[in-house]
Amino acid sequence: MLRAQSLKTKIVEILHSGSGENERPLLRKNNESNIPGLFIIGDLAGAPVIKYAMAQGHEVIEHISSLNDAVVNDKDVFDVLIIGAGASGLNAALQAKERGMRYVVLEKNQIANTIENFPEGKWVYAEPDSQPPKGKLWLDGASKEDLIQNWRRIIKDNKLDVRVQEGVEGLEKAGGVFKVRTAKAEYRARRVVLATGQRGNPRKLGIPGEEREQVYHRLYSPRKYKNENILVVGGGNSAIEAAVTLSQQNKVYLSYRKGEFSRIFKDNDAQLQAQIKAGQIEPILNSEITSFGEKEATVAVADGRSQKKRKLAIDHAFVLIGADVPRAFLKSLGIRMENEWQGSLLRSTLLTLAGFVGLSVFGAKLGGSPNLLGWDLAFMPDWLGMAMAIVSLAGLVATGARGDRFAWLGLSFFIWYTIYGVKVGNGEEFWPFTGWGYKLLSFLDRPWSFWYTVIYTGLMTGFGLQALKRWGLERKDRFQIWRFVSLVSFQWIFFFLIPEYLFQAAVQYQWVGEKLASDPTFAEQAWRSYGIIYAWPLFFYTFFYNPHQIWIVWGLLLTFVVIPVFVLFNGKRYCSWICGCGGLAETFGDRWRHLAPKGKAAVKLEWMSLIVLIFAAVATVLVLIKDIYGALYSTADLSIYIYRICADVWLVGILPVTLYPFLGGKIWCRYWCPLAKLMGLQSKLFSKLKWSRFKIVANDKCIGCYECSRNCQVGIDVMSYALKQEVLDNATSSCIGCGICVTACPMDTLSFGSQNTMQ
Amino acid sequence: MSRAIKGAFLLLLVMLVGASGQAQDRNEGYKTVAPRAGERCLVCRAPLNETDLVLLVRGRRVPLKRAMVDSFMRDPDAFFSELQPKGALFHESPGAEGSEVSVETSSSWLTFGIYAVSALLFAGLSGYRAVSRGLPAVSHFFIGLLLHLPGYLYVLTRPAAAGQNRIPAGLGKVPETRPPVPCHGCGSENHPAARECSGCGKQLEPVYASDVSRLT
Repeated sequence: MLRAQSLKTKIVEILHSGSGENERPLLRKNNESNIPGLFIIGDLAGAPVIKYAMAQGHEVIEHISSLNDAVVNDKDVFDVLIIGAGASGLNAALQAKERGMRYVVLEKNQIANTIENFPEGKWVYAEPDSQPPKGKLWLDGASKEDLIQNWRRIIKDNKLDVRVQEGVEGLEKAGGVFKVRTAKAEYRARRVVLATGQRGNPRKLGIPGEEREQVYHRLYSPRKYKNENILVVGGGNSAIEAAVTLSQQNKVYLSYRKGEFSRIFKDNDAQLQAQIKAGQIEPILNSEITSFGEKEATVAVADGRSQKKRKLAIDHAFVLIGADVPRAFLKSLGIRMENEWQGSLLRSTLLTLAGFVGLSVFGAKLGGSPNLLGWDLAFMPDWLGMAMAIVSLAGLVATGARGDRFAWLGLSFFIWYTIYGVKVGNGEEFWPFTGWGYKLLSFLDRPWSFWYTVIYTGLMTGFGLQALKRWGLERKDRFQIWRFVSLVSFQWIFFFLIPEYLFQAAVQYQWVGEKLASDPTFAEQAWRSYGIIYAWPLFFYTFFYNPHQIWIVWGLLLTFVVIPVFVLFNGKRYCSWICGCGGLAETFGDRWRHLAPKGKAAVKLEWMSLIVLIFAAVATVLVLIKDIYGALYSTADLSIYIYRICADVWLVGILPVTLYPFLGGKIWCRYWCPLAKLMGLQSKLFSKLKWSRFKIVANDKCIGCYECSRNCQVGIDVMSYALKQEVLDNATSSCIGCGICVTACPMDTLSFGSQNTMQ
Repeated sequence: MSRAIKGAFLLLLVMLVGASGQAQDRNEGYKTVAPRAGERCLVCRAPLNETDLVLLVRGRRVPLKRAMVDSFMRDPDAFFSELQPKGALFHESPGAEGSEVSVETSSSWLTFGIYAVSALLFAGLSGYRAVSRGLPAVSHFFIGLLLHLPGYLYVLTRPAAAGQNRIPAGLGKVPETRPPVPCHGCGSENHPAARECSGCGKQLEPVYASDVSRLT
């Protein structure tokens, strides 16, 4: 039982790694949460800059006001209750007033609390300039004091009903009305807009003594501290800025749990190094504070595999380790979080298995032999099998709709295992489809592999247009328009029209010349046309099975000349502009791109593709030995069999596509694709030799909003490069040059190529 | 890296140790050619000699011992399938069971495919043009998608929008931000809408109108 629990924990850990650092509430259309009528906007909903937060406030009220029951004539019930008086909440209130709705704003602290907590005189950005401001709240590039002064004036001029120092203690919904309880009153509202933000919820260490008076989680007035010993805990920009400022008049210890400050601005890094050199800051890396005492703090410092305890004499301590999503508060309201793994792994596994067993029993009617792990199930009637499959799938859908994410995982596996398991070949289908699946799915006298390509191309086209709209048209980015047109066009031309039709037409009508058209080693092998675009080792069959020499010549040219030259100029853009596997990930998988596994552990696992590359190379050599010298027959056949089942079916098909909605679309490309690895190695070499023309550079405008890292399908922490204005290329990352980070950045921080060009 | 190499050697070892043969009758209609040195029978795996033969089946060499030709001809697809690569990336050859792909029946699919590619191309061109000239990108993209060349020609005739939505020369997208402005007094970089220098407090001339004035 304990093992099962631990297995489940490990699986959840992997599945959750994509959204661990920027967890957000689960939001549907119009920012509505899983509770109908409760909307979430602003920082909490992932708005990276103030202007986007304000736009969300405006849009959510526009949506609510368009509903039939937006305004009710009930004096006891507000049309909308807004929680939080920040940029999004205030703009929502202004719009609610504009629309004649009964509204109230409840604020736990003070107006614009997050901005109030910025350091004195801090500049507040109004970017992006390309987006016109929405709503009546003023926004411009200004100092925090000027901005707040303007907002206070607007609240006064519009007589907005904002009730400060009134935090929400409870919220429940009954009879279509929300009851919101504060320490001062109870409110009733038809709809609730949650705009609390998350930066007002500083993250804590959770250690003894943290509640002491001399331990703070914010730094308001650094000049107040003189000639003191001060401990600053953290390694982000807030902590570094605090440490640098405090060190001008004090001795500062800077404790950080990691071995380097990897996510700080270039300027902050320079100032930090200067203060360290001057002896004003003592960095204590790889350390964790274990307790705070009256006038001391105990710190555990990693020393190889062991830890050394050290006592620091301090007057004050500042724990500046970022902010937490107010998870407990959101959960107390019944709000579900994005990528939240609730439910029963066991139940979903059993339901999925039961579905397959049902199909196995049903398959007897179509020529299959019903069994489960060799146990004969022929005693069961076929109708029972079909009923079992339907009930199981309905069970997965029903439990999934109730929030069981394992059920969706089971259903996703069921669908993609069926698609790829049947496609293995007629008579070779995976259980439970063996002997009947391929024939059943070969509709209209066309093989299932044909319909598979139709589905694949259809998915890429439909979702490709959606992604093109999202990244290219709406963001006015020409690079993305061409990228998605390229991906979808390559799929249509080289992976559908040529292998399915044009090759055969070229042979039939002798467009390729009489000699070639009458040569069976060319004419009867339309499948080899996949090798026009797919290079070795992604498509190593180009060199096997008695190929026409034209394919050998092209295969060698493509793999050893065309691809390296392409990589020299474009890095791994083959994956994001041309490849069908990457294409499905970029189009169908786009909506889940933010769930890509992130962090060092996820990056370390990229070594797996080297194994697949080595295996593909070994298999190629074995088959060539077999074909040329007539030796090692069995070994070569076995190696191809293993590669075909492991790589071509499981690693490129069933597993990664099943995982699209849970780990993003690039699992195959990032962890297992041998061609991606080969190009990565080439690009790394070119980058190190400084020959590569591919790189992403950053200017000094990064505001640390995390949009670039969040949207990276290959899990690169782009933000850490941007903050330090470091060049991002294939020497240090597996970047595929999709450019989404460049497009998503609301500050124009990132760009391709030289540091002097914006895009 | 070392783990990767170890893993590869382990798999290679498994392949070499675990290799096993898969053994189990006229050459009607198939062209025959002479065997090459080292070829083995597809049916029995025995090495071929000069008296044996190789059939050309769908462009592939099928090496067979004379005694095994009848076995092969009883179920050629079953044996031939061993030569057929299959995988997630490509299809069976035309002519295999259940895979009747012929040019004659494909014209509608082919026409549709060419239509789709052409639509995509003109949609891309239209969207590109619209974004470049500050026009509504989504609607112009779909004009190109639905109307193809006439749609694109229509988009080409549209005048550029006035204002800041156009892509400046040399850039790939409409910029989200404006470059900072240096103070003539102290050299500090300031936001382009700032009215006073953040470094020395000197009065600055805002480079562009603030959002609030754009709004009202």
